[in-house]
Amino acid sequence: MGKYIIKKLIRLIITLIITSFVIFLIFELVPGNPVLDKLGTRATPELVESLRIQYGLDQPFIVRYLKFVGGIFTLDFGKSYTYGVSVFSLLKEKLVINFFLSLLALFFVVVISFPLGIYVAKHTGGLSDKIISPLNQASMSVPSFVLGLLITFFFGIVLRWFKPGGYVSFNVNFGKFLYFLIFPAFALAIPKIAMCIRLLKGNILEEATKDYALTAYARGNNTTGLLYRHVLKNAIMPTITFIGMIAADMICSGIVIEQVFSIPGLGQMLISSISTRDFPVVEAEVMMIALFIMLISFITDIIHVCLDPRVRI
Amino acid sequence: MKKIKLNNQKKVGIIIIIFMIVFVLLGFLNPNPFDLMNKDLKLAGPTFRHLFGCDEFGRDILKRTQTGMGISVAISVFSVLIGTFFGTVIGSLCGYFGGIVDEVLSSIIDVLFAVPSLLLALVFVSLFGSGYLQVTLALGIAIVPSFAKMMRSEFKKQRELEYVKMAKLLKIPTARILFVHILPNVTETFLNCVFIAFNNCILAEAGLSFLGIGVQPPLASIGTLLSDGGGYIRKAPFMVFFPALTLILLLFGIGLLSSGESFHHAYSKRFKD
Repeated sequence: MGKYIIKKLIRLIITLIITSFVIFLIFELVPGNPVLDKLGTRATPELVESLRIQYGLDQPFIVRYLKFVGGIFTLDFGKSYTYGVSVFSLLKEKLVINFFLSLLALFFVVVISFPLGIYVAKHTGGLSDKIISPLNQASMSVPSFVLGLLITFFFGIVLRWFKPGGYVSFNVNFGKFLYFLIFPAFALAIPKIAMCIRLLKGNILEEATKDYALTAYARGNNTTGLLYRHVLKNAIMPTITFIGMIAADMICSGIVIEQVFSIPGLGQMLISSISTRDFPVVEAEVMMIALFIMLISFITDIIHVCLDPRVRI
Repeated sequence: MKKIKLNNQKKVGIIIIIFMIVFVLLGFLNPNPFDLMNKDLKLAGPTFRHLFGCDEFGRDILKRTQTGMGISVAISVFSVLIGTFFGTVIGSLCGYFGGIVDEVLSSIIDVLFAVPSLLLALVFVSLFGSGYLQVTLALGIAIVPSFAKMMRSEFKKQRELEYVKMAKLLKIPTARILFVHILPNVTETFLNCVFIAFNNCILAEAGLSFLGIGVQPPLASIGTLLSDGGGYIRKAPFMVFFPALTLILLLFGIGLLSSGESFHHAYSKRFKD
C-alpha cells in the first residue's frame, strides 16, 4: 500500500511540474507589456525600468519560473499589477468562500444521491424509479447557473427565504454566511445529484448480475443483505471517482454561480483580473485551481486503495 | 457497419431537436427587428405581438432568443467540428499505433482531461481577448482531450480484431484502415461523443457569455440574454424564463440523444475494468 501511495505521489509531483511550467509559459508568451500597459502615456525609460525591477521582470525566464514554483509552496505569487499588493492577500478570503461553497455542495451531493441511488436501484421498475428517472434526465439538462437564476426567483423573490445579492462575509456573521451559501450550493449540486443517482443505480444493477452476487444469493442472502454486504462495496467505487471529478468541476461551475448570487469569490476575482490583464493574479488562480484538481484526484486514488485491495497490486 | 438503433428516448430527443431548429428558423419570419430599441416598450410583458415580452431597451425577446440560440448553436457546431477533427485524429493514431508517442500523448491528455473545459476556455479568452471567434476556438480545443481519450480506447480495441489484421495483410494504406475501415465500426461511440461534446459546448458557451466574456453586444447569445435578464429578475422575470426554457429544452433534447452516457460515466466504467 505504501508503495502504491509513493508511486502516486511521484506522479502527482511530475504532473505538478508539467502543469506549472505550461501555465507559466502560456502567460509568458502573451502579447503585450504589462509595465507599458500600467504606465500608459506616463512611461519614461526610468519609470519602466524601475517598475520592471519591482515586478521582477528583469530576471531571466528560468529564475522567474523557479520563483513561481516556490511560490506555490510559500504562497507567495508576487504582486498584483492592478492593486500593487501581494496576490495571496487578495485571494486569501476568496479561497475560504469557495472552499465552503464547494464543501456544502459536495455535502448535498453525497447526502442526497447515495440514499436515493441505492433506493432506486433496489426498487427498479417501481413507482419511485418511474418518478425519479425522468426527473433525473430533466435536472441533468439544466445548467447550474440557470438553476441559480430560478432559485433566486423562487426562494429569493417569491418566498423571501433569502435576500438576493445579500451576501454576508464570514468575518461578520458565520451563521448567516453559511445560510446564504446553501442556495448557490444547491444550484451547484442538483445536476450533479442527478448524475450521481444515475451512475450509482447503473453500477449497482451491473454488479448485481455478476457471479459472486449469484453465489451470495444462493448462500441464503436476501436482496437487502446482498446489496449492503456484497454489491454496494464494488458498486460504490466508480461513484467515488466520479465525486472526485465533481469536486474539481464545482470550482469551475462555481465561477458562474458566484456571478448569479453576487458572491465575491474566486470567480469574480478571476473575471476581473482577466479583463484588466492582471496576469500574476490569473496565473496564481489558475495554478491554485489546477493544484486543487490534482490533489482531489490524488485523494480519490488514496481512498480507492483503502477501500479496494485489488488496486494495490 | 452496425445500424444505430433508435429507441423511444432517442426519438423524443430528435423531435425536440427538430422543434428547436424550427424555432430558430422561424426567427427569419419574425417581423420584429433584433436590435430595435423602443422606450415605450421598456420591460413590457408578453403580448401577442411580443410573445416573450420586451427587455430593458424595449427589444423583442422572442426575436433575441431565436437569434441568440442560433448564434449559440453555430458557435457550438464549429467548436465541435474543430474538436472532433483533432480529437479523432490524435485519438485514433494513439490507439492504433501505441508505443512511446501514445504514452506521452495520453499522459498529457489525462492531465488536460482533468481540467474543466470552462477553465481552459477562460485561460484562452484571457490570452486572446473575448469574442465569438475566440470562444469557438477555445471550446474546440477544450473538447480535444476528452474526444481523443474516448477514440483512443475504441481504436485500441478495434486494432486487435480480425478484420483490421486482414486489412493490414492486404497492404491497405494505414490512413484508409483508420478512417474507412475502423471509423464506421465505432460510429456509436463517435456519435455519443459528438452529442456530449455539443452539449458541453452549449453549456460552456452560455456560461462564458453569461460572464460577459463570450459573445459581445450588440450580438447576443443565450448566455448574454440570461445575464441581462438576471439583472431584472425582480421586475421582469419573463426576461429570464423564456430564454432559460429554450436552453433547457435544447439541452434536454441533446441529453436524450446521447443516450445518457456521459464522458464521466464512460470514464468511470473504463476505470473499473
